[in-house]
Amino acid sequence: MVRKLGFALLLVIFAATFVRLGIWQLDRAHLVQEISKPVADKVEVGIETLIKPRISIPDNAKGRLVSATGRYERILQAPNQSTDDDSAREKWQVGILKLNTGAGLLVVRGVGDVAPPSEIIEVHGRLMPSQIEDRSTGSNLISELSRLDSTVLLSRVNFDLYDGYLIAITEKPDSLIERVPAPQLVVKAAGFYWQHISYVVIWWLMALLVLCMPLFKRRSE
Amino acid sequence: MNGAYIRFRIMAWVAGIMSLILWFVDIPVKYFLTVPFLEDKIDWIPIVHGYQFPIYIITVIELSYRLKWNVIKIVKFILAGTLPVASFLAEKKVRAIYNASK
Repeated sequence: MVRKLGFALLLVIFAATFVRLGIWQLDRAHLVQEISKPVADKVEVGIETLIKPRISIPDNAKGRLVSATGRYERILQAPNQSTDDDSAREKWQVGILKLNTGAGLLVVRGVGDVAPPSEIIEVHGRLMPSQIEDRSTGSNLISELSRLDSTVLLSRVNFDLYDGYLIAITEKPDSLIERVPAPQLVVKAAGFYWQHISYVVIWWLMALLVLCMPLFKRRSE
Repeated sequence: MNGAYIRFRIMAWVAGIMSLILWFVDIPVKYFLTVPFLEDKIDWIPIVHGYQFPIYIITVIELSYRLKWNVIKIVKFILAGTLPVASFLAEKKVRAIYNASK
């Protein structure tokens, strides 16, 4: 009798554990669904009010729409990082925009070699965090950046630089350069909604199997 | 027995192939290689793997009920569905049992 009760208790513990694991996967599925929902853009702000030069971009500033006004000091190139297979593989044009505050900001202007106007320009775009890994190998030329990261340029300019880079959406005055897409930053969570739901099915099936175990035991005896 | 045996064999092969794809394509691409364009193309692997496994478990349960297996053997066969080659070995074992019973 005691042995039977112990066995029953063990089965209930196992079944409860499997049900709990299923609930955990269900919560993960809902979390993945929540994270991947598009969020409305916040109001555009001037870059000076959002971040300071030489200081890492805080998480709440990453992906924000910002504006910056200044003059392009230098025009460089960066590898084309479009994931679209059909896109022309022309290099991206990246300008160092020297702001009225004296600090510089990397701006991805677009694709091609349309020169920017020499006058003061107002740029509206999306602020992105610096890239950590090189996007092109062995191309660390003076005119080409291996990655979009202001630290790569520290020895080449004599003014402070903002962390990160801006993907230009519009410039005033406009120079009709082909723009690069500036999508919202997507937070990637491990797994997919339906993948986690499949794990819910597995765990709860296991719980059911454990509860049916006495039936199998009796049949095999 | 015949229907349960065929269903188990099919699902053992599906589970084995899906485990091979998961272990040697999905996991290396997601965690060890840096190929973003490929990552988007293999999203289906863990999802398909996740859904075929409960079906595999059901076929194991059906077969074990007919063959009157003990609980430990059932658990072993269920776990075989999670490893790339183990489900092929499980299928081979069941085939031998089936041929012997004929």
